[in-house]
Order: sequence, then structure tokens, then C-alpha cells
Amino acid sequence: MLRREQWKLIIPFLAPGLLIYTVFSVYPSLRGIYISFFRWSGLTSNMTFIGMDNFARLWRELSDPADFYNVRLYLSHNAFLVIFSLATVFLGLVAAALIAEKPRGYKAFRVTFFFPNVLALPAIAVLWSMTLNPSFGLVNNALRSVGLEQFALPWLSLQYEMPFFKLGLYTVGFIGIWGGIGWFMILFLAAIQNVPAEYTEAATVDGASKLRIFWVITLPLIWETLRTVLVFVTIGMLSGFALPYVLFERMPQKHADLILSYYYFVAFRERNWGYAAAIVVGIFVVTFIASALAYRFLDRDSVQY
Amino acid sequence: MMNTTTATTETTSTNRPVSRKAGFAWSTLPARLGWWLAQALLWLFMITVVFPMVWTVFSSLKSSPELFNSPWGLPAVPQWQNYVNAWTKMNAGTYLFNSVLVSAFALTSVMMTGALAAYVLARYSFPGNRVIYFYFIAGMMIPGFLAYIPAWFLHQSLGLLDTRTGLVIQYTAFFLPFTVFFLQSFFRTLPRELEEAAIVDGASLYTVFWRVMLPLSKSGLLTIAVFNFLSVWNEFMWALITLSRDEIKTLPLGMANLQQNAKYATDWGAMFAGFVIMLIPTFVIYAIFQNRLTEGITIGAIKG
Repeated sequence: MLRREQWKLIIPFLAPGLLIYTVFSVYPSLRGIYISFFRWSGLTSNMTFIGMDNFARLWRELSDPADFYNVRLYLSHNAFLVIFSLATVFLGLVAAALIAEKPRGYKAFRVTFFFPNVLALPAIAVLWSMTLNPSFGLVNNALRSVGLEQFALPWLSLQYEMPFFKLGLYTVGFIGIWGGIGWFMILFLAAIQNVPAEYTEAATVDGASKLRIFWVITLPLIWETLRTVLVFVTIGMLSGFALPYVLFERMPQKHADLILSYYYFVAFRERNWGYAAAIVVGIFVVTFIASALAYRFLDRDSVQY
Repeated sequence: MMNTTTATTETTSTNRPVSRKAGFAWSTLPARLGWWLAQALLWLFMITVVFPMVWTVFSSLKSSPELFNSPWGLPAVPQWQNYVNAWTKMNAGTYLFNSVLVSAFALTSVMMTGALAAYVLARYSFPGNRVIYFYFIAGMMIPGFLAYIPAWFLHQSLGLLDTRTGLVIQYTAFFLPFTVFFLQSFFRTLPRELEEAAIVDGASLYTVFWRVMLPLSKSGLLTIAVFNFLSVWNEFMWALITLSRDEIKTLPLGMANLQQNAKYATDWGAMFAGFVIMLIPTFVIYAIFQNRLTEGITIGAIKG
């Protein structure tokens, strides 16, 4: 039974949070969906309902890339960087499996591997553009001093040709790996340490190799964690933007822009708010479907213990 | 050396005879080599994290010519002037001040509103409890960029655009869902007996919250506070969209400016120094609260 006294506590406790969250987060999100059906310059309150026209335009630009904003190219960058995200998850898992064996200095590994995750993205960008600077940067000087002059490349160049994409985009991918391993390592480490020791001990006694124990026992038992992580990677695949934006100059770069950069340019440079909202809604819908598919696809009768 | 059997056998119960010892794969040569290689890779990655940071600190104490002539060496004469220049010419002090201010207020605001809401959601059953809980949690699934444009106009019409107050309010809204999610599950674990005992003693429901429940929740509050602090401290996108006056910009924007100016700058030493200044708070927080962070991720992963 709820007494009046309890309501006197419940309402004032919930009200401030509910109010701020509703006004500044929920309402704008819903409104974002709403304005994606309008033509709206933002200068006036004049909004013209145009139905699905914004989405039709997005679809058209996908199939017939314009010269200045090449949506299909941006999407291909996103797709390319997903490979690096998956590599990050994989390497995080490997690092966790190794560190779980408590090699010498494992505590130092744990602390340093995670450190990039507490840096702001612009900080990561600054750090690496200094480290990769062609003239005084750490990396190229190191390569020169060991006689690998030919590998001292302009790492952040968006002109330098590599297979499929420019070198700069590869570098973005590697910086992403560098910045992300620690997070996945901590997640998987927790999962691995939750696996009951009796299982692995028994297998060890039976003479199974470490690799085989990991593959046959540990991996199935941490599958749920891996699945969750992969779903989150799917969600993140279209929402990247800031790293290339800060790393390269702050304008359309074409060879490093991601789909969310396109949204940014349309919204905050062209002020075509309705279309920008449609881009975002499109990204959201695709992400939602992809993550739901990933969740289903990765469903494996997980082992209970 | 080569502690080949590692943790697994250390914890093996003593009553079980370790029979086929020859079957231990670590004792074979390829396995040993593999283990060495794996360890080498771990060290290599550690170097890629530590070395650039150390190099940045050294570089911040060099003069510009020295930076180009001996990028590897220690600074011949530490150029403390770089730090003075960074502080005065690159506005490092202003950005730092703004970040501290915004983080302090946003952290207080999100912790207060979050803890209050999470508390009643965790400890009181009333009609609509689950609905409100899921309403909050839904915010964790919705990407922030969906709200950016309408929120920008909302801030404009409320006169919050390009103000620190606007940042504080928006950050509260952004980071509230995770705070409620985390604290709700934490408050649920607290024992009911203490609460009841306090009420029997004549304490009001408010007193129970402030004097009994909050002190019991210190560790949970601290963990989520560290998370929220870093989220606010590092937030970049919303600040980028809404702030245009240089005197109220936060550190991440200052860093981005640094990056942009790097292309035309000549005073490289001061740039490195500015970077170091901006990084020090993060470094200190990490050094103190590193365990809290990893613990928070672990809890989040298990619950989520």
C-alpha cells in the first residue's frame, strides 16, 4: 500500500530527472524524426511537409553519387572501418586471453592498454598527428634511424594511394584499434575470469593445450559477452565521425569522410535541416536493423554454467 | 623462468593427481615460442601507448629547432617558457577553466537527478515504475546525433546556445540514462533491514535516503561519478556544434583548435606544452580511479 507520505517522496525525486531527460533528450529525438519529413531551412519557421522526399533524395544520392558530396564513397569508408573495428574486438579478446594467464607485468598491461580509452578524441588526434608528423614525428624518425627510409610514409595523407583507399584512412583505422583495444580487453577479461576454474583445470589435467582449452571451453562460455560486443560494434559502424574530422582539416575531405560527416555538412554548413534529419533517421534505421540482425545471427545456444 | 603452468595449475586442487604431465602443451617448443611471441606483442602494444606520451612530454620542453634536429634526444635545456606560452597564447588556461566549471556542474547535476530517480525506481513499487524505468533506459539505445539538430534549436529558443549553462543541462540529459540504469541496479542490492530499522526509529523517508542509503552506496556512486566525469570532460560533438565563442570553449575543443593550428603554427614547443597541460587532469583522474573504471565496465557488461 502506498501511503501519501511515499508519494511525497516519489514525485519530487523523479521529477527533475524526468523533466530534463524528456525536454532535452526525448523530445529532440522525436522531433528529429518529425522534421525529416519536411523541407526546412531553419531560418524561418516555415516548414513544408514533403513526405518521403528527403529519404528519396538520400536514396538517389546513394545510387547516383554527386561529385562534391559522394555518399556512396562515405559509406564505403564506414564499411572499410568496420574491418578495423572487428580487428579491435579480436585483438582485445586475444589480449584478454593472454593477460588472463597472468604473464609478467600483466597489471601494467591492463593499466596502459586501457589508457587510450580515457582520452578525448581530439586528444588522440593531436597525439597521433604529432607522432606521425613527417618531419619531427616519432614514427618516421624511428623508421629512418633503423634504415627503413622507404617506409617513412606521409601517414596522414589523403592523397597517398593505397589499395582501395588513401593511406590516411588506413591510419584512422589503426588509431581506432589503438584507442579501442583496452575497452574490449577489460570486458573480455572479466568474462574470462568468470569461467569456473574447475573446467579449465580438468582439461589441463587431461592434457589439452592452452589454445584448445580457450577454443573449446572458454570461448563458448564467454560467447554472450562476445555477442553483445559485436552487436555494439554494429551499432557503432555508422556513427563514427569525430576522429577523421579532427585528424584532417575541418571541411569536406572526400577521402576520409564518413556518412555522419555528410550529415554534419548538410546540417551545419548548408543548413538544410530537414534533409540532415532524414540522413540521421536513415542511419538510425539501418543501424537498428543491422544490430537486430547481428543479434539474431550470432545467436548460438549459449552454454549455461 | 617461463612460468609455464601459470595460474591454472596454481589453483589446481591438491588432492587431484596431475597424471599425464607430459601432455602439458606449454612444454613443447612451438607452444613456448608462441607464448614468447604473444608476450612480445603485449610489450609492443604497451610501448605504442607509453612511448608517444613520454615523447610528447620531452618534446614540450624543447625549442622548435631542437625538435627538428634531435627529435629523439632529451631536451638539452628544458624550455619552461613553452608552458608559459601555451598558457597565455593558446588559451590553455581558459579551456581548462571552462572544462572544470562545466564538468563540476554537469557532474553534480547528473548525479543528483540520477541518484534521486534511480533511488525511487529501485526501492519503491508504484504504478508506472517499470514504464518510467524503461523510458529512461531507452535513452541508452538512441544515438545522440538523432537529437542534435532539434536540441540545437531548442537551445537557441531558450537562449542556452553558446553558453556553459546550456552544456551543463544537455550533458545532464545525455548521461542521465546510464546513470539511472547503473544506480538503479546498485540501490536494489542494498539490504532492506537497515531502512526498516531507521523507520522504526522514527526517521522520515528523506532521512532514510540521505543518512542511511546514500552513505551505503558510496562505492556505486563513486564508480558512476568517474564514468560521468570522463564522459563530460571528453565530450566533443555537442560542444563543437553549440559553442562558437572562444572564451567559453572546453578542452576537447581546445585540443581540436590545437590540431587545426598545427598546420600553420611555428611554435611547436608551445603546442606540445599546451597538449600536456590539457592532458594532465585526465592523467591524474586515471591514475587515481583506474580500478573504478574497469570495475564499472565489468558491472555494466554483466548487467547489460
